[in-house]
Amino acid sequence: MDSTTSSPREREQRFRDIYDAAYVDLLRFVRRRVHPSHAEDVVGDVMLVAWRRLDDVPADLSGARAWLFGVARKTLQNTRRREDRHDAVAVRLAEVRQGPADSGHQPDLVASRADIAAAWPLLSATDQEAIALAVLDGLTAPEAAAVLGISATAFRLRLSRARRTLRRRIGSTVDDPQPGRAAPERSPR
Amino acid sequence: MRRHDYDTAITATLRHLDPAPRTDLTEAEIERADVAFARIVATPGDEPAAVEPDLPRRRRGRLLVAAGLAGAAGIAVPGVLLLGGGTAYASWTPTPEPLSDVAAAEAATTCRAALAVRDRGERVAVAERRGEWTYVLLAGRGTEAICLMPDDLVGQEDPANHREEGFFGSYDPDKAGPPTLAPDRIDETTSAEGSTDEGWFTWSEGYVGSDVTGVTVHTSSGLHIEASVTGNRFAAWWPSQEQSSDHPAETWSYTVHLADGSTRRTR
Repeated sequence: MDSTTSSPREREQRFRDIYDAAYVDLLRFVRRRVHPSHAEDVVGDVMLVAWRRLDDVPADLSGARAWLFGVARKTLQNTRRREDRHDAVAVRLAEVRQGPADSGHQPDLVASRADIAAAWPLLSATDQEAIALAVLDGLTAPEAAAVLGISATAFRLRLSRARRTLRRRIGSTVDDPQPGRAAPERSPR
Repeated sequence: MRRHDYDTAITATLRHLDPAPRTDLTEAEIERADVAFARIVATPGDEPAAVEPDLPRRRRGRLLVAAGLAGAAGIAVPGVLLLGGGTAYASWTPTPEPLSDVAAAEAATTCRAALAVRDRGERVAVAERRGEWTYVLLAGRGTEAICLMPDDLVGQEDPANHREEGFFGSYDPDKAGPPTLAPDRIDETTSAEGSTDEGWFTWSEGYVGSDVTGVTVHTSSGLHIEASVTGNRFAAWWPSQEQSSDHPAETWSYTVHLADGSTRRTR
């Protein structure tokens, strides 16, 4: 528990600050994982939890954001779980408009959007989740680890494996880099 | 190309495929966010003291106890609570009257509307009436709603605007799944104290094993209450008193009735 907010007014103000600062990021986080028509409802549920557990919400914004993402992930797990509540939450990508302009717009990109969009569904939900937390949700390794409830080291390993799998999946359409080379993996701080 | 650069390139491409790219909220989205905010802060926070000082003299009910929740996994949220004065559930009966399917569905609709939560496919797990009060427990996959409301609130077109007439609700958006229970056991997953304009009450609810046919609650105040047992759930509520130095926290135990006619006392 980080702090205890004393008066109802202070409490509401603190919640207001978190709400205003994190709402859009939380909505984007959820939209990547559920049908957009449900996203606002999920955000409402998550914010309700935050209001109820305000003293558990980290004081700094980035920590609070990761905390909210963690609650959101759990909420999504609960809504879709049957037997196994520990399933990773799959992440979707935007639709790719197929056509000659696809790779032409981004000549510097190694793999076209279509290549990656085709490879993405072949990844496990665990792999999708690790990559999305780092790349799309923009979390550092410790923040992503907090969302998943694992250590930062475990997250880095998971991300590294997920990136490797994605490279292999894309490999059929583009030149794969030398797979055995001990180049450093890129991972968030 | 080095793997590092390759990953950087993939990262850049992935960002182009972000299904939720950075954008400003629309006017409609801002409006909905504001409505949601107002709805959330209208419910009490987790510190009982924090919801009291600014209130008028009328007593506002609140959730005091959420016993038996698995860590922080379950969060019960009183929807709304209310007012002081009145008789203490004079019509209350220790034996519940089950609701018909139609009445239960109507109670479920009213409960959701009063709590301002949407239908997420929860089923009616328990629906009962004790005197002039209707209780409904809605259980879903990861969500749970409970409402105690006057019978005449049920079926109101806009129950959210009639909550002042007496209502107590809780909504848990993060409810743990059912426990694994031996056939002759019960598990109380939630108990809470709250108040409506008729006074303080306590409710408890949980799961029953497959051999359990009935549950009786025995309170330290001397009441013996027949719980509703439906499927794998049980629930009961009873009039109680606000905790104070003169009235320390109420305790209760259970008698579990089993299919072979035997009984077992708990706690």
